[in-house]
Amino acid sequence: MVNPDEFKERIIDIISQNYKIDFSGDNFDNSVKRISETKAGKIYEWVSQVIEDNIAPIMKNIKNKKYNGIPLNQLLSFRKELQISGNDYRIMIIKIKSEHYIEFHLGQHKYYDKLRKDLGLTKKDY
Amino acid sequence: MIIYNPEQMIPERIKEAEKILSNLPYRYCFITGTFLYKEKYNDVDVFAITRSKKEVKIERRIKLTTIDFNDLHSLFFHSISKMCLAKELIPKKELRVTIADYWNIINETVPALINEKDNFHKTIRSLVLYTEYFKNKKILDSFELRKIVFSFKNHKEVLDYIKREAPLAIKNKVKESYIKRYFYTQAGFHKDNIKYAGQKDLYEISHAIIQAV
Repeated sequence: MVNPDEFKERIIDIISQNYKIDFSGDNFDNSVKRISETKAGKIYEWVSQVIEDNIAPIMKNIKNKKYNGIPLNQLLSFRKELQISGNDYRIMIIKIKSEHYIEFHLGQHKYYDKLRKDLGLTKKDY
Repeated sequence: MIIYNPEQMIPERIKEAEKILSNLPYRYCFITGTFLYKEKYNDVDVFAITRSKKEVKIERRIKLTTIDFNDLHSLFFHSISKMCLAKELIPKKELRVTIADYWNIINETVPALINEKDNFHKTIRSLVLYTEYFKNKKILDSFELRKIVFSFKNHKEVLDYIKREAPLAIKNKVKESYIKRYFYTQAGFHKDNIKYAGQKDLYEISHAIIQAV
Protein backbone atom coordinates (compact mmCIF):
# COMPACT_ATOMS: atom_id res chain seq x y z
CA MET A 1 0.00 0.00 0.00
CA VAL A 2 1.18 3.51 -0.82
CA ASN A 3 2.06 6.30 1.58
CA PRO A 4 0.15 9.46 0.51
CA ASP A 5 3.06 11.83 1.21
CA GLU A 6 5.48 9.67 -0.77
CA PHE A 7 2.91 9.43 -3.57
CA LYS A 8 2.64 13.23 -3.78
CA GLU A 9 6.44 13.66 -3.56
CA ARG A 10 6.94 11.20 -6.39
CA ILE A 11 4.48 13.07 -8.63
CA ILE A 12 6.03 16.43 -7.73
CA ASP A 13 9.44 14.94 -8.69
CA ILE A 14 8.13 13.68 -12.04
CA ILE A 15 6.45 16.99 -12.88
CA SER A 16 9.53 18.88 -11.70
CA GLN A 17 8.44 22.53 -11.94
CA ASN A 18 8.85 25.63 -9.79
CA TYR A 19 5.11 26.11 -9.33
CA LYS A 20 3.46 24.14 -6.47
CA ILE A 21 0.85 21.72 -7.77
CA ASP A 22 -2.31 21.19 -5.66
CA PHE A 23 -3.49 17.69 -4.78
CA SER A 24 -7.27 17.35 -4.31
CA GLY A 25 -9.87 14.64 -4.14
CA ASP A 26 -12.59 13.07 -2.06
CA ASN A 27 -10.64 11.61 0.83
CA PHE A 28 -7.41 11.87 -1.17
CA ASP A 29 -5.03 10.36 1.41
CA ASN A 30 -7.29 7.42 2.24
CA SER A 31 -7.81 6.69 -1.46
CA VAL A 32 -4.04 6.72 -2.05
CA LYS A 33 -3.50 4.38 0.91
CA ARG A 34 -5.63 1.78 -0.88
CA ILE A 35 -3.55 1.92 -4.10
CA SER A 36 -1.19 -1.03 -4.59
CA GLU A 37 2.51 -0.43 -5.35
CA THR A 38 2.01 -1.90 -8.85
CA LYS A 39 -0.90 0.43 -9.59
CA ALA A 40 1.02 3.41 -8.19
CA GLY A 41 3.86 2.52 -10.57
CA LYS A 42 1.41 2.68 -13.46
CA ILE A 43 0.17 6.09 -12.28
CA TYR A 44 3.76 7.44 -12.13
CA GLU A 45 4.37 6.06 -15.61
CA TRP A 46 1.22 7.78 -16.88
CA VAL A 47 2.24 11.11 -15.28
CA SER A 48 5.64 10.79 -17.01
CA GLN A 49 3.80 10.25 -20.30
CA VAL A 50 1.76 13.39 -19.66
CA ILE A 51 4.95 15.40 -19.04
CA GLU A 52 6.52 14.02 -22.22
CA ASP A 53 3.47 15.17 -24.23
CA ASN A 54 2.52 11.59 -25.12
CA ILE A 55 -1.01 11.86 -23.70
CA ALA A 56 -3.68 13.72 -25.64
CA PRO A 57 -5.28 16.46 -23.50
CA ILE A 58 -8.89 17.60 -23.59
CA MET A 59 -9.09 21.24 -24.65
CA LYS A 60 -12.30 23.24 -24.71
CA ASN A 61 -12.88 26.31 -26.80
CA ILE A 62 -14.78 28.16 -24.06
CA LYS A 63 -13.60 31.75 -23.50
CA ASN A 64 -16.29 33.20 -21.31
CA LYS A 65 -16.15 30.67 -18.48
CA LYS A 66 -13.33 30.44 -15.98
CA TYR A 67 -11.94 27.76 -13.72
CA ASN A 68 -10.15 29.20 -10.67
CA GLY A 69 -9.84 32.49 -12.55
CA ILE A 70 -8.39 30.95 -15.72
CA PRO A 71 -10.41 30.96 -18.97
CA LEU A 72 -11.31 27.37 -19.93
CA ASN A 73 -9.73 27.75 -23.38
CA GLN A 74 -6.35 28.17 -21.66
CA LEU A 75 -6.53 24.83 -19.84
CA LEU A 76 -5.42 21.32 -20.72
CA SER A 77 -7.04 18.41 -18.88
CA PHE A 78 -5.51 14.93 -18.78
CA ARG A 79 -7.86 12.21 -17.63
CA LYS A 80 -7.16 8.66 -16.50
CA GLU A 81 -9.61 6.04 -15.32
CA LEU A 82 -8.56 3.47 -12.73
CA GLN A 83 -9.97 1.09 -10.17
CA ILE A 84 -9.05 1.16 -6.51
CA SER A 85 -10.33 -1.73 -4.38
CA GLY A 86 -12.95 -2.51 -7.03
CA ASN A 87 -14.27 1.07 -7.20
CA ASP A 88 -14.07 3.36 -10.25
CA TYR A 89 -11.83 6.38 -9.82
CA ARG A 90 -10.63 9.16 -12.10
CA ILE A 91 -7.36 11.04 -12.05
CA MET A 92 -7.35 14.47 -13.62
CA ILE A 93 -4.25 16.59 -14.12
CA ILE A 94 -4.86 20.21 -15.08
CA LYS A 95 -2.29 22.39 -16.79
CA ILE A 96 -2.30 25.99 -18.00
CA LYS A 97 -1.46 26.04 -21.71
CA SER A 98 2.27 26.54 -22.36
CA GLU A 99 2.80 27.07 -18.62
CA HIS A 100 2.71 24.86 -15.55
CA TYR A 101 0.63 22.04 -14.07
CA ILE A 102 -1.73 23.40 -11.43
CA GLU A 103 -3.77 20.51 -10.03
CA PHE A 104 -3.80 16.75 -9.54
CA HIS A 105 -7.21 15.27 -8.70
CA LEU A 106 -8.13 11.79 -7.58
CA GLY A 107 -11.75 10.99 -6.91
CA GLN A 108 -14.78 8.81 -7.48
CA HIS A 109 -17.81 9.51 -9.62
CA LYS A 110 -19.47 12.25 -7.59
CA TYR A 111 -16.22 14.15 -7.07
CA TYR A 112 -15.30 13.85 -10.74
CA ASP A 113 -18.78 14.93 -11.79
CA LYS A 114 -18.41 18.26 -9.99
CA LEU A 115 -14.90 18.82 -11.39
CA ARG A 116 -16.09 17.88 -14.87
CA LYS A 117 -18.85 20.50 -14.73
CA ASP A 118 -16.41 23.17 -13.47
CA LEU A 119 -14.12 22.40 -16.41
CA GLY A 120 -16.97 22.55 -18.94
CA LEU A 121 -16.63 18.87 -19.82
CA THR A 122 -19.50 16.77 -21.10
CA LYS A 123 -21.18 13.96 -19.25
CA LYS A 124 -20.30 11.36 -21.86
CA ASP A 125 -21.78 8.38 -20.21
CA TYR A 126 -23.59 7.05 -17.19
CA MET B 1 -43.10 -4.72 -14.40
CA ILE B 2 -42.91 -3.15 -17.85
CA ILE B 3 -40.76 -4.62 -20.61
CA TYR B 4 -39.60 -2.28 -23.35
CA ASN B 5 -38.55 -3.95 -26.64
CA PRO B 6 -38.03 -7.51 -25.37
CA GLU B 7 -37.06 -9.10 -28.74
CA GLN B 8 -33.38 -9.70 -27.88
CA MET B 9 -33.85 -10.49 -24.19
CA ILE B 10 -33.12 -13.88 -22.62
CA PRO B 11 -36.38 -15.04 -20.89
CA GLU B 12 -34.60 -16.32 -17.72
CA ARG B 13 -32.89 -12.96 -17.31
CA ILE B 14 -36.21 -11.16 -17.43
CA LYS B 15 -37.33 -13.16 -14.38
CA GLU B 16 -34.04 -12.49 -12.60
CA ALA B 17 -34.26 -8.79 -13.46
CA GLU B 18 -37.78 -8.61 -11.99
CA LYS B 19 -36.45 -10.03 -8.72
CA ILE B 20 -33.60 -7.52 -8.58
CA LEU B 21 -35.88 -4.56 -9.24
CA SER B 22 -38.49 -5.63 -6.72
CA ASN B 23 -35.82 -5.52 -3.98
CA LEU B 24 -34.81 -1.95 -4.77
CA PRO B 25 -36.39 0.95 -2.85
CA TYR B 26 -36.99 3.09 -5.95
CA ARG B 27 -40.27 3.76 -7.73
CA TYR B 28 -38.64 4.44 -11.10
CA CYS B 29 -35.85 1.98 -11.77
CA PHE B 30 -34.91 -0.22 -14.69
CA ILE B 31 -32.36 -2.75 -15.91
CA THR B 32 -30.72 -2.48 -19.30
CA GLY B 33 -27.52 -3.65 -21.00
CA THR B 34 -25.82 -6.98 -21.66
CA PHE B 35 -27.37 -8.71 -18.63
CA LEU B 36 -30.66 -8.81 -20.54
CA TYR B 37 -29.40 -10.22 -23.83
CA LYS B 38 -25.91 -11.76 -23.44
CA GLU B 39 -25.02 -15.10 -21.84
CA LYS B 40 -21.81 -13.60 -20.44
CA TYR B 41 -22.06 -10.24 -18.74
CA ASN B 42 -19.86 -8.20 -16.38
CA ASP B 43 -22.38 -6.17 -14.38
CA VAL B 44 -26.11 -5.79 -14.06
CA ASP B 45 -26.74 -2.20 -15.12
CA VAL B 46 -29.49 -0.77 -12.96
CA PHE B 47 -30.67 2.83 -13.30
CA ALA B 48 -32.84 4.63 -10.78
CA ILE B 49 -34.51 7.96 -11.47
CA THR B 50 -34.51 9.67 -8.12
CA ARG B 51 -33.71 12.82 -6.19
CA SER B 52 -32.61 10.80 -3.18
CA LYS B 53 -28.89 10.84 -2.32
CA LYS B 54 -29.26 7.96 0.13
CA GLU B 55 -26.76 5.09 -0.26
CA VAL B 56 -28.49 1.77 -0.91
CA LYS B 57 -26.99 -1.64 -0.10
CA ILE B 58 -26.87 -3.75 -3.26
CA GLU B 59 -25.37 -7.00 -4.52
CA ARG B 60 -21.78 -6.76 -5.78
CA ARG B 61 -22.68 -7.64 -9.39
CA ILE B 62 -25.16 -4.71 -9.62
CA LYS B 63 -23.94 -1.41 -10.97
CA LEU B 64 -26.45 1.15 -9.75
CA THR B 65 -26.54 4.58 -11.36
CA THR B 66 -28.92 7.29 -10.24
CA ILE B 67 -30.37 9.68 -12.79
CA ASP B 68 -31.73 13.10 -11.97
CA PHE B 69 -35.13 14.06 -13.37
CA ASN B 70 -33.36 16.90 -15.24
CA ASP B 71 -31.39 14.34 -17.29
CA LEU B 72 -34.46 12.69 -18.80
CA HIS B 73 -34.22 14.75 -21.97
CA SER B 74 -30.73 13.47 -22.82
CA LEU B 75 -29.87 11.16 -25.68
CA PHE B 76 -28.18 8.78 -23.21
CA PHE B 77 -31.36 8.41 -21.22
CA HIS B 78 -33.50 7.89 -24.32
CA SER B 79 -31.04 5.21 -25.45
CA ILE B 80 -30.66 3.26 -22.19
CA SER B 81 -34.39 3.27 -21.55
CA LYS B 82 -35.31 2.07 -25.04
CA MET B 83 -34.71 -1.62 -24.39
CA CYS B 84 -35.11 -2.37 -20.70
CA LEU B 85 -37.14 -3.90 -17.93
CA ALA B 86 -38.68 -1.34 -15.61
CA LYS B 87 -40.47 -1.50 -12.30
CA GLU B 88 -43.02 1.07 -13.46
CA LEU B 89 -43.75 3.04 -16.59
CA ILE B 90 -40.60 5.14 -17.11
CA PRO B 91 -41.22 8.91 -17.07
CA LYS B 92 -40.13 10.39 -20.40
CA LYS B 93 -39.22 13.89 -21.46
CA GLU B 94 -38.83 15.22 -24.95
CA LEU B 95 -35.38 14.60 -26.43
CA ARG B 96 -33.13 17.66 -26.44
CA VAL B 97 -29.91 17.36 -28.39
CA THR B 98 -27.82 19.94 -30.25
CA ILE B 99 -24.94 20.06 -32.74
CA ALA B 100 -22.82 21.65 -29.98
CA ASP B 101 -23.52 18.61 -27.73
CA TYR B 102 -22.38 16.35 -30.56
CA TRP B 103 -19.21 18.38 -31.13
CA ASN B 104 -18.43 18.27 -27.39
CA ILE B 105 -18.64 14.48 -27.55
CA ILE B 106 -16.27 14.37 -30.56
CA ASN B 107 -13.94 16.88 -28.88
CA GLU B 108 -13.56 14.68 -25.81
CA THR B 109 -13.67 11.28 -27.51
CA VAL B 110 -10.78 11.91 -29.92
CA PRO B 111 -8.17 12.44 -27.14
CA ALA B 112 -9.60 9.46 -25.19
CA LEU B 113 -9.40 7.32 -28.30
CA ILE B 114 -5.75 8.23 -28.87
CA ASN B 115 -4.93 7.56 -25.21
CA GLU B 116 -6.83 4.28 -25.00
CA LYS B 117 -5.80 2.67 -28.27
CA ASP B 118 -5.98 -0.87 -26.87
CA ASN B 119 -9.14 -0.43 -24.87
CA PHE B 120 -11.17 1.98 -26.94
CA HIS B 121 -14.61 0.33 -27.14
CA LYS B 122 -15.84 1.79 -23.85
CA THR B 123 -14.83 5.32 -24.85
CA ILE B 124 -16.77 5.44 -28.12
CA ARG B 125 -20.31 4.59 -27.02
CA SER B 126 -21.47 8.20 -26.85
CA LEU B 127 -19.74 9.06 -30.07
CA VAL B 128 -21.54 6.26 -31.95
CA LEU B 129 -24.84 7.09 -30.28
CA TYR B 130 -24.69 10.76 -31.33
CA THR B 131 -23.33 10.03 -34.82
CA GLU B 132 -26.06 7.51 -35.61
CA TYR B 133 -28.69 9.85 -34.18
CA PHE B 134 -27.64 12.80 -36.33
CA LYS B 135 -27.15 10.55 -39.36
CA ASN B 136 -30.48 8.72 -39.27
CA LYS B 137 -32.54 10.34 -36.48
CA LYS B 138 -32.41 6.89 -34.89
CA ILE B 139 -31.90 6.39 -31.18
CA LEU B 140 -29.96 3.16 -30.74
CA ASP B 141 -30.85 0.84 -27.88
CA SER B 142 -28.20 -0.94 -25.82
CA PHE B 143 -28.13 -3.98 -28.15
CA GLU B 144 -27.86 -1.97 -31.38
CA LEU B 145 -25.25 0.35 -29.91
CA ARG B 146 -23.06 -2.52 -28.71
CA LYS B 147 -23.21 -4.14 -32.14
CA ILE B 148 -21.86 -1.02 -33.88
CA VAL B 149 -19.30 -0.23 -31.14
CA PHE B 150 -17.77 -3.71 -31.34
CA SER B 151 -17.70 -3.69 -35.14
CA PHE B 152 -14.60 -1.44 -34.93
CA LYS B 153 -11.36 -3.42 -34.86
CA ASN B 154 -8.99 -0.64 -33.90
CA HIS B 155 -8.91 3.05 -32.98
CA LYS B 156 -7.94 4.09 -36.52
CA GLU B 157 -11.20 2.68 -37.86
CA VAL B 158 -13.04 4.86 -35.34
CA LEU B 159 -11.11 7.98 -36.37
CA ASP B 160 -11.95 7.23 -40.02
CA TYR B 161 -15.61 6.73 -39.02
CA ILE B 162 -15.70 10.17 -37.33
CA LYS B 163 -13.97 11.87 -40.25
CA ARG B 164 -16.34 10.24 -42.74
CA GLU B 165 -19.65 10.36 -40.87
CA ALA B 166 -19.57 13.56 -38.77
CA PRO B 167 -19.61 15.95 -41.76
CA LEU B 168 -22.51 14.02 -43.34
CA ALA B 169 -24.36 13.75 -40.04
CA ILE B 170 -24.15 17.50 -39.38
CA LYS B 171 -24.79 18.67 -42.95
CA ASN B 172 -28.31 20.08 -43.45
CA LYS B 173 -29.25 19.65 -39.78
CA VAL B 174 -29.05 23.34 -38.93
CA LYS B 175 -28.57 26.57 -40.88
CA GLU B 176 -25.46 26.59 -43.09
CA SER B 177 -24.42 29.97 -41.65
CA TYR B 178 -24.55 28.57 -38.10
CA ILE B 179 -22.46 25.51 -39.03
CA LYS B 180 -19.85 27.68 -40.75
CA ARG B 181 -19.64 30.19 -37.90
CA TYR B 182 -19.51 27.54 -35.19
CA PHE B 183 -17.01 25.24 -36.88
CA TYR B 184 -14.71 28.00 -38.21
CA THR B 185 -14.25 29.01 -34.56
CA GLN B 186 -13.61 25.40 -33.53
CA ALA B 187 -11.20 24.77 -36.43
CA GLY B 188 -9.24 27.93 -35.56
CA PHE B 189 -8.94 26.87 -31.91
CA HIS B 190 -7.68 23.39 -32.77
CA LYS B 191 -5.29 24.75 -35.41
CA ASP B 192 -3.74 27.03 -32.78
CA ASN B 193 -3.18 24.01 -30.53
CA ILE B 194 -2.01 21.58 -33.20
CA LYS B 195 1.18 20.70 -31.30
CA TYR B 196 -0.90 18.78 -28.74
CA ALA B 197 -1.85 15.17 -29.51
CA GLY B 198 -5.33 14.79 -30.98
CA GLN B 199 -5.77 18.46 -31.90
CA LYS B 200 -4.75 17.86 -35.54
CA ASP B 201 -7.51 15.25 -35.88
CA LEU B 202 -10.02 17.67 -34.35
CA TYR B 203 -8.89 20.41 -36.70
CA GLU B 204 -9.32 18.07 -39.69
CA ILE B 205 -12.77 16.97 -38.56
CA SER B 206 -14.03 20.52 -37.95
CA HIS B 207 -12.56 21.59 -41.29
CA ALA B 208 -14.24 18.66 -43.07
CA ILE B 209 -17.58 19.66 -41.52
CA ILE B 210 -17.23 23.19 -42.95
CA GLN B 211 -16.26 21.78 -46.35
CA ALA B 212 -19.33 19.51 -46.42
CA VAL B 213 -21.94 22.29 -46.14
